[in-house]
Amino acid sequence: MFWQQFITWINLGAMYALLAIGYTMVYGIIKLINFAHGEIFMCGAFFTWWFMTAASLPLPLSALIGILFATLLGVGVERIAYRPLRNAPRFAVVISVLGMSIFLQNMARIIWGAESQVFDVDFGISPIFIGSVIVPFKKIFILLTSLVLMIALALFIKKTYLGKAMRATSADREAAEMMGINVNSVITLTFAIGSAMGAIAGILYAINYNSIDPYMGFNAGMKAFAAAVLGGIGNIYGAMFGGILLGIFEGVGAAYISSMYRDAFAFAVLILVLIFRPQGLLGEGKSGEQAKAR
Amino acid sequence: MLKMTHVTTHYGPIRALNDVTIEVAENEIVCLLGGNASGKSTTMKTILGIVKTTSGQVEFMGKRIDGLPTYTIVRRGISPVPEARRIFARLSVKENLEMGAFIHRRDPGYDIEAEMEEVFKLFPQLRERLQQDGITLSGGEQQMLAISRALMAKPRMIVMDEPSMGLSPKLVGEVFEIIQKVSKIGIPIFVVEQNLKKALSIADRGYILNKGQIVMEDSAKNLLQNENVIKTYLGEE
Repeated sequence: MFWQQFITWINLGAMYALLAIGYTMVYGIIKLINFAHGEIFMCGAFFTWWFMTAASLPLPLSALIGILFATLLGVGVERIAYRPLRNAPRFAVVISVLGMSIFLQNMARIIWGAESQVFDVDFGISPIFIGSVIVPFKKIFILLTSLVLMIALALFIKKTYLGKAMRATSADREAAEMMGINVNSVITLTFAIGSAMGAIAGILYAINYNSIDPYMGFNAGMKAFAAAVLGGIGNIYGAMFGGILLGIFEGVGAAYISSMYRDAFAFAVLILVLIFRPQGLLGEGKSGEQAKAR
Repeated sequence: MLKMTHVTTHYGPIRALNDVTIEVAENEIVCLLGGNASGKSTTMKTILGIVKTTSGQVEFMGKRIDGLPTYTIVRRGISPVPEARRIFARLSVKENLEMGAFIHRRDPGYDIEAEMEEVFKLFPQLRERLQQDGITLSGGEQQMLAISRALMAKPRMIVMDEPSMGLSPKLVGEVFEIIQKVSKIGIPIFVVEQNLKKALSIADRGYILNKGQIVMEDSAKNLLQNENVIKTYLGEE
């Protein structure tokens, strides 16, 4: 029974992790939370559903188009809500992005309606038995997809010139520009990667729960944000780790204490982290970093 | 090579530079000297396009660069060694050098390994630190890394902002020796400094900036012997 549930928790955690990556990457580079990220997650699922139902395209193709659309949307959010305010006070930017989030949520409501829609996917592959544990194929699919994406992203950040340029820009934007790095392109790329990850998380979420609605981005987004803070905001490995951990916390709390307080467990973790380790589990914290720099 | 003509710069309503004209020719070390808030860093930022000019123009290799974004100016061949070094703390020494080479990443004629070897000739101690994070280096090593990072770009010219800042007197001496070495490779250097004596001892020419205006301009030798300079800026007899 435990292992049966454990698979479910890890699954949820993997989706949080994918979504948390977008929050943390954007935060790392512009030091602001992208409040519209949950909406990208939602739109990724809806676009995919749209192409599956209205255009009767198969899931892989619909998903590809959905990811592409949501990515463009994420890049658009940066262009419209962030870039014109690049040198504005942070509070102004927060408001403009919150506005973007409300706009996207309502746009989804107008286009697709306020009710939840059935996201019907059947892989046609029978569940897999691992000992006495029955694992539906979709869970394995979700886990593997998340894992592959996270490894690919980690390699990209670690090994490629652009990945390093991202880290450099995140560490010191002006110095990065002095290296001949076009910081605006790097920011666009960051939003694009984060949005693609978020959209994929949305599609996986839809596959898992078979249901989508225009508000799904809010709750999942808050959880993923909590996961990003838990791992250490700005740290990509922290987001991955924090996401999985949050999925487990939430699952354990729901399974052994009360499933009614599922969300409360997740956010209690956020509060505890903010009190006792505000820099997050893998984060180093500003003061420490600056002290060492001297 | 680099030519600033009648440049005026403002921060909002405050005028930071007033009619500044500076020229750096090939194979020259030129220093810009002045106290705190004299406009030295603003001059640097104006050359790099971080601060925009209100009037006047900046030319590099005969083409105007004022108004261009910083990364384009850097791609034209001006490599900065910024104030406080600005090493990427969580990038390894090797990755810091790679960032210096960023503009050549798609250049098939550019051999990054060979360029690194060239840099190690000047700074052999960096070789042992390649895998360490930039932040773990000492101040002197960070300065060397900052200069190396600029060299990785194969620049036509290097601009340095206060290379002596925060370094012990012994290290300051070393850094200025290195600046001379770099200059001998054939790269002109424009250096902004507070340490007049040191800077003038290696420079060919110098400008003295006060309250955003050039108040003196001469060969380094003459400036070092100028009584006014000695009185006002060196605080000696």
